[in-house]
Order: sequence, then C-alpha cells, then structure tokens
Amino acid sequence: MNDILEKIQQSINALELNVVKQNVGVVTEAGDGVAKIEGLSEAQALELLDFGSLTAKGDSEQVQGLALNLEQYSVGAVILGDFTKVSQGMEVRTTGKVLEIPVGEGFLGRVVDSLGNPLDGKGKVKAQDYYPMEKAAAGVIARKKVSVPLQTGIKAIDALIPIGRGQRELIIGDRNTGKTTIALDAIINQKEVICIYVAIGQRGAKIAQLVAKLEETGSLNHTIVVAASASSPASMQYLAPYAGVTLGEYFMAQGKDVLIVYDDLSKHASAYRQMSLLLRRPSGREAYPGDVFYLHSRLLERAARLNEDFGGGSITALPIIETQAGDVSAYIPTNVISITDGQIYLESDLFYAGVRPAMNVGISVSRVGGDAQTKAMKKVAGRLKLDLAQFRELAAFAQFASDLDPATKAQIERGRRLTEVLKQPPYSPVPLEEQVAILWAVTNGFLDGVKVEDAKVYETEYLKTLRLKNKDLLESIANKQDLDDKIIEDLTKFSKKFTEEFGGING
Amino acid sequence: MKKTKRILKIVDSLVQQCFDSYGQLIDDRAERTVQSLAKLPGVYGIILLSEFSKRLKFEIAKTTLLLESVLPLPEQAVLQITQNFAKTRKVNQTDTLINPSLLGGLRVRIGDHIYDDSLVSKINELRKELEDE
Repeated sequence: MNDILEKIQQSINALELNVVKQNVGVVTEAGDGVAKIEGLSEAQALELLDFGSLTAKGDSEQVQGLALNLEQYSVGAVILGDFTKVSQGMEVRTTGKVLEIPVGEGFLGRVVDSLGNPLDGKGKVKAQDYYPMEKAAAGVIARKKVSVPLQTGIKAIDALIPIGRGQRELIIGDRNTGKTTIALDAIINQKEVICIYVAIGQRGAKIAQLVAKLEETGSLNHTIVVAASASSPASMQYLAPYAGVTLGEYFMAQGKDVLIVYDDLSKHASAYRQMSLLLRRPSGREAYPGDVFYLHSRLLERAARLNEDFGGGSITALPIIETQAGDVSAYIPTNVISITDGQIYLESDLFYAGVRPAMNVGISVSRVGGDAQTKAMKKVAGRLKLDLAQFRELAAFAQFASDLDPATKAQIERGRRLTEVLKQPPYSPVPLEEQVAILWAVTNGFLDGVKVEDAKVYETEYLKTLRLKNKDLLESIANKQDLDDKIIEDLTKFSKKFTEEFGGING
Repeated sequence: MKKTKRILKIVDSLVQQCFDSYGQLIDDRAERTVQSLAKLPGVYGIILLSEFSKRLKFEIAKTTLLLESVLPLPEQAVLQITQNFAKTRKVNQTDTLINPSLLGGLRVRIGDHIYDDSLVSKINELRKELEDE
C-alpha cells in the first residue's frame, strides 16, 4: 500500500501542470456518427478531438472524435465512441495529438478494437509505446527484395502461388468460397511469425468462432485480433486496418516478421463510403469518394520487407476482397488487384465441385513467384504447373476419355490425381517437407496406377508412413531445403515400396 | 437553395465591411446590412441573413476576451490580462464570467482559443496521467 502511495506521489511530483492552450468549437450538427463543428480554426487533419466538457467529478462526458473535413469556418468530424452522447451545442476541444494507438508485446493473444481497447475481458493491455495510425510507408531505400518464403501450409498455394515475406497477396472470391479459411490456415501454420487478423464488418459470431479456433490450435499466443464487427460504427471499421498495420509496424521495427490479414477490404471501402457521404464529401463511381484508391494503397504500401539497416523485419499482407457473382472487374476489386503483388482467385463452381481450396490456378498469380520458394519446392512446382496447365487445356476432352490417344489420356489422368492431391481440409496445414515429398511422388507418376478416388487415402498413408518410418528423410528435406541426388534416391526407393504395398492392400 | 461558394463569398465581404481598420465593429453599418438582407425575398434572404449573423459573431468573438473565474476578478487584474493579450492580438472587448465549475484558477477565451489554467483541468490532467500509469 505504501509503495502504491509513494508511486502516486512520485507521479504527482514529476508532473508539469502548465497552462493548457486549446482550440475550441461548438457542435452545430450531430448524427449518424458524424458531427459538424463551428470554430476549431487550428484543428489538424486526423487530430483527436474531445467532445463534451470536463467535470470536477472526473466522470467526464467526453467522447473522442477525429477531425476529417477541414473547412473555412467549420470542421467535419467522425465520432469514435458512443455518438448518442454528442449533441448540438456541445463544446469540442482539440487535443494536439493526431490519432495514435498503444502498441507492444502485451497485445499478443488479445482481441482489441480499433483504438487498442481490449474486447476480450482480460483486462487492460500494457502498452510499450504509442504509434500514429497514419504513417508514410517505408521508402525505396529502406526496402529489400522479397526472397524469403512465407509458408501457408496449403499445398496449392505454397507450390503454385508462393507468397514471400513482405509481399501483398490478395485473396479474392465470392461469399463462402473459403477466403477466410485460407487466411486462417496461413496463421495457424506460422510459428515465429507474428500474426494480426483484422476483422472489418464481420459478424460477431464469426469473429468469436475464429478466436476460438486460434485458441484451440495454439495460434492465439502469437496473434493479435483487431475487431470492428458489423455492429461497430463506420468510423471504427474505417480505422481497424490502420490499427492493425500500426500494431504490426511495432514488431517490424524490431526486426520481426509479421503476417496481417484484412478481412475484408470490401466492407472497409463500404464503411469509408458511408462516412464520406455523411461528411458530404463529393461522391464518384458507385458512390465511393474520389480517394477510395488511396484508402487502400496507403494501407497496403505499409506492408514491406525492410533491409538490415532498418531492422530487417517485414509485414506480409493478405487482404481479402469479396466479389459479387464473380465480377473481378468491379471498382474496388480492380483497385486492390492493381495495388497488390498478386491474387488468389477462389471460385464458387470449384468450391461446390469439392475442389477446396477452390483456387483457380489458371488466373491466380503471385508476382513474386519462385523468388519466394525454396529450391526443393521450385523443383517440384515447375513440373506441377506444367502438368496442371496441360490438364486444364485437355479438361474439356476428359468426357471423351475412351476415344483419346494414350498420351492424352495419361495427361488427363495425371491431372485428375494432381487435383485430388492439391485438395486439403481446413485448419490442417502441411509442413514444407511433407508438401515436397507428396508433390514429388505425384509429379513423378507414382499415383498414376492409383484410382482417383483413392488418391487422398494414398496421400494420407504416404505421409503417415514417411513420418513413422523415414523421419530422417523428411528432416533432410527440411534442413537442406533442396532435393539433392541422395534425397531423390531415397524418395524414389520409399515411393516405389509404398506404392507396391498400397496397390497390394487396395487390390 | 444551396449555400454556394458565391453566396458565402458575398457574406464574407459584407462581414468585412462591418469592421474598421482597427477591427472594431461599426454598429450602424452592421445594422443597415441586417435590414437590407431582411428585405430580400424568400429563402435567399434567410440563408444570407443566417450566414451573415454566424460570421459576424465569429469575427466579433475573435477580438473579444472572455475571462472565466470562480470569484470576481479585481479591475486591475482584468486590465493587466487584457493588456498582455493585446500585445499579440487585437482585443476590442473584455468580458468576465463567474464559473464555479472551474474550482479555482482562470480560463481565458478569445475567439476559438482557450488558455486554461483552471483547477479542474489540472485535476483531469493528473487523472489521465495516473490512469496511464
């Protein structure tokens, strides 16, 4: 008790209570989460404003706001908090601070809102520092080429659309095509990478389910969840992604790697549109404000890989966009496609046909490509891409299988088995060495004699047997990250033996 | 009818004409302007009058010093504060206001600037610091 009193006394003595100079205004219009204020001639853009007067009891009726529209005689502000407490005639003061949030290691394992306030009932988060939410992205000199892979644990992605640390890879598709599942799998597969999941406009139940899944898989310890659910004001949904990347920049500055998922930016654009229309900003195409491109470009540019002089950390961004009826040529999707370094395109048709992840390999792309793959994966992926590309060309003829020449038939059969092997259940990431092993087996024809419907069983048993009986082979692949002659020899021996035994068991 | 930029420009120039070169309000000119605007037909007149009144109040407040205190201030103190502020800006009028909610100290307002040396603001600042600890 004495210690606490002493600490309080020290804090009081250390405090310098000078005359406070503030700019003041009066609310002339308030409603729907925005307020028009007269006065505030010295308000800065994105400056925090205090609504309401202070009372001596300390239980101030203060609500905070953000100055967005700076006009000659008035300021348009969005209210961050309970907008029902803001009324006409209320006094508003500037704080001299631009919008900033607390950052630090204390946020790991926590669910917070867009201002860093905890939502999980586990008490206040201890902040290490305060970072501004709006910050210029790293310059060209500070950056380094993306060359280190970020393993998602999803075979189709790691082999065909590889993602590197510091890359921005868009996940785009209609509703219920598995976009969030891919992002979640990527998070679950990370061990030393800090993960941040930003939920924008999502249902509360979905966010709770996601947090439970992260906790179940032990991934919550290295994850921060920033939640601005569908019931949050548009201002909080607008700020959520910036809060997420600000939290990530703290870790990046320490040289760590960060993975951030924005789920989803379509809702983010909607929230920004709502705010801009209420602030009477001029509207453009599809009623979005004119700077909706800048809204996302300045956010995604903050994902980068820094060189050693600047700490060597990185932020990898996985923004998610929801399309309507598969229309990737709509306004917001085309904007974000042009910003990111590639996209993973998910199709409803593939999803309902049982191909999950429902990735259209033909039009999905990673602009970083092989630079973000290990040598081992590059060796199997090259062959895999070719086989799949040939299969896609021949897929239309698959129904005439009995009338085709043997080479074409073989190609089609190989493609079917490849497609089966690339399917993967959710929340089941596969380590790199196992991916390399099974993909090597299928691209070298070891599944050609196996029935298509047994391909998944083959894969499961193949990997199980490898783990049990040839653990050192998997370890070699994991350590060397390459397929040298010895490893290939061992893989060939193992695969031959296993395929014979599997063929025997399955008749 | 919208408050177009043209209308707002007209109002601004009307407001500027109601002040002399020392920033003092010319009362009869302001009164005449109000009477002329009131004679304008329909919505046009209402918008112009409303904007004129708003802008005029804003301009007057820019040169009006408001001293808030818990107890009445002695005249000498009021004069000294006015002279100090007049060194860096125009002060045409000084008003005083008794505000017990300050608990102590002084709060000075000129235009939309506030210089707060009241006890209540110091208590709240202290509270914020201790909360952060």
